[in-house]
Amino acid sequence: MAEVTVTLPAPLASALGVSRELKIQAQNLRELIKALGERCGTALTQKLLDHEGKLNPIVNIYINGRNVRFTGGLETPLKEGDKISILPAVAGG
Amino acid sequence: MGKILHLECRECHAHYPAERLYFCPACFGPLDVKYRYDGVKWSRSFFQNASKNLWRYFDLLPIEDKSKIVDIGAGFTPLIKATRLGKSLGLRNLYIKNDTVNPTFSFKDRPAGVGVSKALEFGLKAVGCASTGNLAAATAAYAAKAGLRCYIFVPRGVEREKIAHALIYSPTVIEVNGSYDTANRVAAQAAEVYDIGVVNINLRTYYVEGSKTLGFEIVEQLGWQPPDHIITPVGSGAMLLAISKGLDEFEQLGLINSSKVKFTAAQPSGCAPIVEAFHRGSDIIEPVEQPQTLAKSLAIGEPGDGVYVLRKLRECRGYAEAVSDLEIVEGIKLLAETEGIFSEPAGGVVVGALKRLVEDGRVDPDETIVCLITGSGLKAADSLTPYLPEPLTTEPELEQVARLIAGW
Repeated sequence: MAEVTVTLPAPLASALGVSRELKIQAQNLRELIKALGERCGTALTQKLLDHEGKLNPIVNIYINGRNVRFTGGLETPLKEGDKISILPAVAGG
Repeated sequence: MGKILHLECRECHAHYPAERLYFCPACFGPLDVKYRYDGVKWSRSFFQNASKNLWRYFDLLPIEDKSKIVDIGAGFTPLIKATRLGKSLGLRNLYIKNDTVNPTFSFKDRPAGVGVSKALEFGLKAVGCASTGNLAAATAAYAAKAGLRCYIFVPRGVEREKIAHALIYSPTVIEVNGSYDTANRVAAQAAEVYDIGVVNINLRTYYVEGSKTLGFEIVEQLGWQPPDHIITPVGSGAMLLAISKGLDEFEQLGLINSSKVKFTAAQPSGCAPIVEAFHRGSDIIEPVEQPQTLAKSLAIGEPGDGVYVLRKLRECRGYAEAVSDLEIVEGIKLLAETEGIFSEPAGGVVVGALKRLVEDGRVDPDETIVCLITGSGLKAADSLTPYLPEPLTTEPELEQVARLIAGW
């Protein structure tokens, strides 16, 4: 079980009433999202996953700066000290 | 009571006050500005004496205080009947919306002008952007005009002309070792920590409103008629959606009978996640980690508005086309040779896509078609040089010159 640091976007952390930076223990991204739900409320899980349990296309999750869509998605393994960043999918213009 | 009714989530339709919010905390959805439309007293005659720039549409731009407008003269660019280009393609009603003539030579002057004005209205002291180059210069120019600090995040490999253009306004330019999407992610993280109005990230809700003025202008310039078909370059997809929103607003205000316009989304084949999803019949955008294309301004591998562009294209029975680097260069040259307009590669993508539609018989020769040419070729001249012939050289003797112009 790896301990990782998760950073949430400020408006989301504020809406959930939690700190922007959270320490979470998980072996892979799927477990991490489950653990985040247990810590912050299932509403967060519902934001991160769509109704089929896949990653929500309007959310980007990065592990050490790399989008998890390029690393194996929900099955991406985590290691001790990983930095996870969750951001709305906002790019270009 | 301000002109903005609320911000509305595109996904769950939750409403929020017009504050510094750029996504829906309830579901991560993007937010759209909704106005008090019944307070807008526009008529066609209202615009006869309006300013010849994008601020002629102030009533439906998200700035409440006119004194906060930062204006460098962007907008109301020419809509040109492209007679020669049309003839070469067999089209009788082809138009070019020439946004290369904006103050920083791209359409980005429109959203950047609105974004920086909104930053001023929010009382921010610094602005910024993540950019493939065009937005960098636009944001830096507006920041200079407003007297705000400016932080620009660009990916490695952006055309040097674009970097030089941005640097002349003296912002802080940060070249991130990675793709545009990496630079964008870093800018988003910085926007979370520092009090910077990153126009296309944490001011995005307001910023994109500037791009809808393209749609307003096209309708006005066509004599208050929407075109049948708009062909637009697509990176994130925000511009296409903004134009569509503008047309809907004109319809809502009774200025046009119908906002139904067919859109074609044109992407370079080296970075075409939206086109590929469209042709797969999928609603899932498969991101491109390392775009490889001459059209750097469209090299956005994780298009933020991709899913919404797909919906729009299907709703309007539009098309999506991806063109190769060679087709891009041919498109740039064809536009230059027939209409005298020098476009950056994004315009070559548009012309290349139009050619494809013509060859496949998907456009009617009498359709009113508008091609959006959104950035000047001077911004990418170096990258086009390998595709151009060397100039002829001669000693300064008329006899030698005569040989070069043989056949006159």
